[in-house]
Parts: sequence; structure tokens; C-alpha cells
Amino acid sequence: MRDIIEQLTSYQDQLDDLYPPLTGEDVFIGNVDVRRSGRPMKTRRGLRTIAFSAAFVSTVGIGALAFFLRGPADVDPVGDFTPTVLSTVPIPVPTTLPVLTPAITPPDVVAPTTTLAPLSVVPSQTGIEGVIKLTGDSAVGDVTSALDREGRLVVAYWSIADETMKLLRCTDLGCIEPLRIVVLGPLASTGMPEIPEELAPPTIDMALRPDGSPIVIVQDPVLGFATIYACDDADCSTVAIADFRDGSPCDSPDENLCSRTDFPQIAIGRDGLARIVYYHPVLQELKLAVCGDPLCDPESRSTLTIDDNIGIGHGMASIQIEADGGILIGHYAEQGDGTSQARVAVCGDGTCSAGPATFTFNDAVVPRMLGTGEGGFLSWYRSGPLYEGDPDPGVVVDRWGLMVAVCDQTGCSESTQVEADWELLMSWPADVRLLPGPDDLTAVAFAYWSPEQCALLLKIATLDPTDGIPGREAGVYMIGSSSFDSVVRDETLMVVFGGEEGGLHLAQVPLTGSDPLDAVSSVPDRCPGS
Amino acid sequence: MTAVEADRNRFALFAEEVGPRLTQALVASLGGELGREMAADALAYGWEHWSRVGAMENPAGYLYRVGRNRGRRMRRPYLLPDPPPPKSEPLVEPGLPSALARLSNRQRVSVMLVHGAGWTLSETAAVMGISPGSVYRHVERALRLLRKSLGVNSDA
Repeated sequence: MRDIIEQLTSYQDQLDDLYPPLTGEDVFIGNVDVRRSGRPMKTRRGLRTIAFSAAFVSTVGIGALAFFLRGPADVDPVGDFTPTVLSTVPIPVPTTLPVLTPAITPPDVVAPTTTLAPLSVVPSQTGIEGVIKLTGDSAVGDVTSALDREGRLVVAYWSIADETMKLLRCTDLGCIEPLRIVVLGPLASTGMPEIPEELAPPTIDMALRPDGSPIVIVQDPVLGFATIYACDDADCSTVAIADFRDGSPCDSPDENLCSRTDFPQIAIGRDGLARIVYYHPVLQELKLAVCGDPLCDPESRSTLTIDDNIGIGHGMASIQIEADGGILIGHYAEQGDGTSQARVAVCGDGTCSAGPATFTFNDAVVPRMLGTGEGGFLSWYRSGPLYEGDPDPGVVVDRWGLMVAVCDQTGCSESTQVEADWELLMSWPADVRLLPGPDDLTAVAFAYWSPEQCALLLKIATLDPTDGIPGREAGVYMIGSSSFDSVVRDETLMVVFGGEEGGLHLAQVPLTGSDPLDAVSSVPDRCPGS
Repeated sequence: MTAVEADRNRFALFAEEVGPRLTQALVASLGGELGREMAADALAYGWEHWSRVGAMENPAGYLYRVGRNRGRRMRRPYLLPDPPPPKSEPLVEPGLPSALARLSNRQRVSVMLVHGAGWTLSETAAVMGISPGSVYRHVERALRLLRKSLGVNSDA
């Protein structure tokens, strides 16, 4: 059989014969007419205009009749392209949430339960050979992960099965030895009567202090405020628990609303203490708490507003402590006209003593900030077309998808599109992580619903930081939960996710070397009728 | 010579140089019929907006994007024609078009332009709006996938 390159050459010759290249004469004579003004106009467009005019006249007549009968119809400004509705992540701001009393009062310090998890290797359940099933929980909610100083994986997750917060610690690098699992406890609202249905699972984030002891923050979706679990050592032999509430003056008579700390995200400063960024939905402010002790006691912490008047649809922000101790915070703000801006706040030191320097990206629609990474990287998902050139016909520039920029205190680079695959345009990326990768690469992992395979997929790509262009696509894998987290160790992306059949899973994907893309072919097409 | 005639001459030169490449690139990206149709559309757009497009740093890349965006909005399936039936040993495997269709858009365009049409990495990168290094990586990936898909030994 002839080699592929020879075949490609031959095939291109055939294509050139079938589709002869166009020249200027084709444009002038065949496809383009010239108006009397001397400005060109395409003949085909002229015909389209006539057809459109006829259609317009008839449509206006029918439309006017329909308007009187049914009222106005929705208008799709993109014309014949109607994407899946990519609205911002709905962040409910309850106005009538009843005042609830916690059914349990968490003790200040507890001795957590420790168990050993069942361990198995699940071949190719997700398209990757050797995915490890870490736990037997029947379902997994939010997941967050980190590496300790020895490179071992630490995971905090919400177990839907028994409605408890858990902390999992691998005891070896490969995570094949028995695990240590610590049950941190239920949420304060667990067991309450009259809990509103269809609440989102708790938002969880975790960071490791310099001694390796985890500190976990969880927002209770019922009560609105968060809880901090501060382990006393790396094994979390004991854990101290405290509420994390906003203390700002607030007009609402509902104390639960005033104390909300939505979507808390945590990082550890160079002083070993936490920095927590969160959103206050009543004040519509993004806030940063600079903690003065491990439990971030209100008396010890200072809180500053990073951004105000950012709208009611705000989602999760992202926080990164830079090598110099400065803070990078990414988020987005609604503009009141239906559009949003991606925004970044850069603090020059660990307490943001001089206030944040803020920069904005004027994308037309920016549903949410997705992540920040070392070196000032931040990313967001952009879901709106950007019109360039004349309004008619207008050019929809290829600016859908994942965007990346690099910021420091002096400003930001221009945003670069990372990913704009068609399947991504048709779906909503459920989550994304921007990670420091090997060889000065940055890895991006994101999950999305694939309409082609009718499955939730996880996609991984690495970026060349010089131009932001994907260096390679490491693979597409099936996962069962939109919640996942990932870290990079020794040029391997370690992805923790909820498996399709339940349970917490670990996939270890090399970012360089042999190409695991072959696994993609084992992801079955599960669309109806396939 | 009037200004319109001068513009026309400039565009004719531009189209002569860019037209064939634009057609090849859009056929690779969108498929046969749609690709050529969008190449015509993009060139016509270029002529309609020549005062602006002609002043651009990379007008070919811009028109490629115009054609590609318009083509994608039509949401028509990607179709490449089958190779003609062979008289002796086939020059092109019958499975090549479908194997090409299974590649990602960037992989397909990169490998078809570089190895099919003989473009340089820089030429391909300029039209696609990405770096030559990225084109190289897409080409390598595409060749590997094509060889695997068609069962061709890389040493062949």
C-alpha cells in the first residue's frame, strides 16, 4: 500500500481537478457584478437580496398577523445558526429563603472517622486503561484535589451517598496502596426540614498548608455560608471546624442572606494562612478574606472588596498565589445590558495592601471565569459571536470557546482563543482547569457534553505559552460526573472524577511521550439509534 | 487609470495568488462542494471590502476565516469525494476521505495543505492563524492517525 503522504498528494490532485481553484477573473466575471457606483456586489447576493426581499414582504405580512395573534417571537441575532442556549450558570439568589436552624451544631474539634477504601482497577471504563476506582461511594458531588510535598494525591469530595464531606489521601505516589479516608462530617444543614429541592451540591475547595495539613472550605447551599475544616496534620488526625460567614452590613432582614459566602475558593499565602475569595449575592460583591489564623476567625481576618456591582449571575471566581506572594483573582461581571466582562484583579502582595489592580476583557458574553494558573495565566469561556467588519453581511469571527490571557500587575496580554472545536460550541463546558504543565506548557482540562457521542467527555490539551495555541490534544475520555479536578505531577495529569457508575476515579494521563489518544476510539457512541 | 480600475487590478493580482490556496484550504476544512462555494463567497467578500481587506496584514488568513465561519454556520456535513476507481494499484485508498473526515479540523487542514498541496508550514500557519510549530504538531498527529486508520505501516 502506498504511504499516506503519497496518497494525500494524489488525492489533492484529484480535488484540484474537481474543485478548480478560483482566480480574480472568476470573481469579476462569474460571481461578482459591479454596481453603477463602481462598488462591487456579488451576483449571487443580488439574487439572494431579491429572494430575501420577496420573502421579507411576505414574512412581514404574515409576521404582523402572527404578532397580533401571538405576540412577538424570539429573534436569533446570529441568523441561521442557533446554538444551544449558553446562559450563565444560574446562581439563585433566594429572596424568601426561610430562616433555618441547623439540626446539628458541629463541634469545634472532632476526631474524624478513618476507613480504608475498596480499591480496584477499572480497565477502559473511561477510555483509559488502568483508571483506578478509588472509592465505592455510589455517587460523588464536587471534587477538589491537591498534591502534598511528596507528590501524593489528596482529594476532598462530597459523597452524595451518605451526604458527608470526605478527605481522601493516597499513601503512595501511584495511589495503589490502601487509602486513608477521613469523614469530615455532614453539612450544618443536613437533616433540616423544609430544605428546598433541586439545590446544587455544595461547593468545595481545598488547599494544603506548608506542613501538608489540608484546609477545606465548603459552602452549604441551604444556609448560604461556608464551613472551614482545618486538619491539624497531613493525615488529618483531628480537624477543627468553624463557620465562615460574611460580616458585612446588609439590608436584608434574613440573616442567612447577609452571611452568604457563595462559591468560596481558597489558596494558601506565603505566610501559611488562607486567602479566600467569595461572592456575596446580596451586595453583588466579590470579596477577599485575608485570614489571620487557620480557621479564619472573623476577629483575625481582614476582608476587602475586590469588585463591586458585578451582577446577580456571578459564578465561581478563581484565586492563585503567585511565586512572589501576590494574588491573582479571575472572575466576571455582568454589564446590565446582557453582556459580561472577564475581569482579573492582581494584588502585589499577600494582603493586597495597595488594593487590587483590575483589568477587563470586553468579550460580548463571558459566562464565567474558569481558572487561574501560575505565571499569571487565566482562562474563561466565551460564548458569544464577535462581529467584525461591516454589520451587513458581517463576519462572525471565530471567538467561541476557551480563552486564555496572561496578566501581571502592569496589565494583561491580549486574550487568545485556545479551543473552538465545533462540539464545544454546541455544548457547555462543565468545568475547566488551567494547570502548570511540563516543558513550559500549560495544560487545560475541561469537560463538556458531546452531542456526537451523547456523553460527558473530558478533554485535555496543552498550550504553548508563547502563542496560546494548543500543542496537542491528549485525549478525550468519558466521565460520569461534570465535577472533576486535576493536578500535574512529573509530566502526568492526574484527573480525579466521579465515574459513570458512581465512585471516585483517578486517571493518570501523560502529557508528553506516548500518545494516549488511541483511547478515544474506545469511547462508544451512545446516541440513540447508534 | 481610475481608482476603481487600480483597485480591480490589485485585487486581480491578489486573487490570482490567493484564490487557489484559499480554495484548497477551504475544501480541506469544509469539504468539497461547500469549501469551494465558501471560497467563492470569501473572495467575493474580499472584493466587496477590498479597501479594508487589501490593507490587512494577512488578508488570505482573514478570508479563510470568513469562508470557514460562513461554512460552519451552514452546518452541512463534511463531505469529500471518493477517489476514482483504480485501474491498477490504487493511488488513493478508498477509505482516505472518511479517514480525513474523522480528523479534527486543524489536523485535516494542516495535513492536506502540507502534504497534499505542498504548502510550507509557514504558509499553512499564516492562513490558519496559528504558529508553524502548531501546524507541525497537527500534521504529525494527523499522519499518525491516518496511518493507523488505514493500516498503513509508517515505514512504507
